[in-house]
Amino acid sequence: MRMSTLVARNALRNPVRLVLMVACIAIAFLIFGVLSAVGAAFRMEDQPGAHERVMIVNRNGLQQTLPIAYLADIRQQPNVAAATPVRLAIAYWREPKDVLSAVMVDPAIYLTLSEDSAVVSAEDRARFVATRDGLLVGQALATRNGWKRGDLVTLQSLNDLRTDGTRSWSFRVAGIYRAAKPGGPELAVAGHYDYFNDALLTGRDRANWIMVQGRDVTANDAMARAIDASYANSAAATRTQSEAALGRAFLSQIGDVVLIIRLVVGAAFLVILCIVGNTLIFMVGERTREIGVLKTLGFSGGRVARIVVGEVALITLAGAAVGMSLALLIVTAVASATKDMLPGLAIGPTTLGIAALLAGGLVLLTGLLPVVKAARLDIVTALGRV
Amino acid sequence: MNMMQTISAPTPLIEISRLSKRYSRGETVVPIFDDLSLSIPCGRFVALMGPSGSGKTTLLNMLAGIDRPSGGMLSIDGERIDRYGEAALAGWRARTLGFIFQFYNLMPMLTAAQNVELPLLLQPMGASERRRRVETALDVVGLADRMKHRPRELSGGQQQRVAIARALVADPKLILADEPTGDLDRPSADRVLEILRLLSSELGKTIVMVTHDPVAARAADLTLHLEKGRFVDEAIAA
Ligand SMILES: Nc1ncnc2c1ncn2[C@@H]1O[C@H](COP(=O)(O)OP(=O)(O)O)[C@@H](O)[C@H]1O
Ligand SMILES: [Mg+2]
Repeated sequence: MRMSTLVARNALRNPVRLVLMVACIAIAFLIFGVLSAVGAAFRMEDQPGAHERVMIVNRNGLQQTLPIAYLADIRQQPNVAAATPVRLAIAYWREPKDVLSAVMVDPAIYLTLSEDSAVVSAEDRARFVATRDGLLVGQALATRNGWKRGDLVTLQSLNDLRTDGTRSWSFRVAGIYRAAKPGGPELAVAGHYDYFNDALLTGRDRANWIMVQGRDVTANDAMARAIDASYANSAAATRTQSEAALGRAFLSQIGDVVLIIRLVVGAAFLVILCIVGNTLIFMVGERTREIGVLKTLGFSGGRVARIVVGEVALITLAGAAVGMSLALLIVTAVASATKDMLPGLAIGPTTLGIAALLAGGLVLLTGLLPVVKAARLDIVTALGRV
Repeated sequence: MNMMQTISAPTPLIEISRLSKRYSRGETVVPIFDDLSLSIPCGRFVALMGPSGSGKTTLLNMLAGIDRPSGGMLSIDGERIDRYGEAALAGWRARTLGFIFQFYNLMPMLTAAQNVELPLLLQPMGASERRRRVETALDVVGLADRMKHRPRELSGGQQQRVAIARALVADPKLILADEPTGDLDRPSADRVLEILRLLSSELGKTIVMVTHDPVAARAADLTLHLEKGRFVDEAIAA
């Protein structure tokens, strides 16, 4: 027999309680693991080239738009190699719940600016640019909807009304793009800005943002300042920033996902901290007499403390291992099902490292009081008087 | 400090001198003893008797270094344990002491052999040496065939014999027992007393046993009577 046998035998004494405590801890780690994976997916914005592209938006927020007239001025800036307007059109095809994100752009420039994230054949490129009602479609979306090149598809816009009073926009599938990175997003569509703009009843000649490629990436900052300075006093002042920064700004609109995740995980851990800590204190209380006996045999306070810590660690690590394993299973399954919508959904080494730290912290915090209680226990009191 | 002189005795294992113990309950101070002196030679089997509440357990606990005297001198095997701190006392107990409780106090989740092995976890000793010692100790108490049994699968008498094996396995000089037969029927009690007798005569252990039972006391070499915090015997150094 070794000290560890004593620890293990102690832990297994009350199997029901052991299972409940392990389950409790496992659930907290499951929540942590899954939410961390989601958080990692949301934070993933550094696609290749993301820092080279620059986005110009309305200074007053992403709900505001910019006049298309800015485009011509911006193209005159010395460091601007290419610029395209981007108009967002929220639309659906047949099923209103399957909302698409459609961007209306300058087709030739957009294709050039997206080269690092989307792969399009030369034939498709030419056809998309030449077709006024042409639509560039992600491979995954085309497969899902059964769209082929040359198909006529009618999209229903949610916000944009046409001059003919309808919300129906018919497009011809002109090209299909593949994500440059395996598993990257392939669910968007792109159309011609002019085709869309000309049929608009309201909100005409506006862009949600202007996407710019600088000639010299190192001059992007100066270019951004120059652009923003030139519109500082106009009706639509601009904010020029990297694509990554815009991505973050977008997310903060739907709420600080990362903060929410931290709060939920924090709450889960606080709850198990209380439950497990309380159970452990109760457990030491229950074994008061045995601890007195061990001390009578010559076990020091420190040794008794180590036995209790060992048991706390065993329970916590079992819970953490079960929880993280479940999280890995779930995240792996969900990631393969949603790889187009949420690329980067994964439990990485960082998350596992944080889980290990959390487990260690949990052992310290839940173990502290029971260990002190056990180590300090007065023998005569513990043995009780007969 | 004035050491008590013993006449004609071999080296004393236990020496107490002017030992006092008080409990304070709120404002009032309850004295248990205030001037207790005693010397017990090596290898002696001593029975400690006295009415309930006379302080037998308190004295035994102080000899075990699990309760502290309020004053006086307490030396066991030449060590002034009254001056020891918690950690030193724990180490001293592991080296010097075997303790037998009235209610056995075995760990319910461990087998008889594992219970006996517990004190050996504190000794620098290999696994095979530990196993050998456990087998010997269980053999001495006649339970070599119950190694794998859990406490709840053993009778009270058998459990107490496992507890005795646990008390002797580390080969301590001193064995203390607080009413070891108090919870046993006559035959089981006799068996326990027989083993304690054997530990004293064959293995030379010094034993102090608190008991209510005159029959049990007869197994000892010598009986001390504690009453109202004093020994009432004529010659306590006999
Ligand atoms: N922790 C304590 N606090 C106060 N009084 C105590 C405490 N422990 C023992 N006593 C008192 O000391 C006296 C001796 O107790 P004890 O040594 O258990 O007697 P015995 O074992 O001879 O029956 C009793 O009167 C008891 O009430
Ligand atoms: Mg008593």
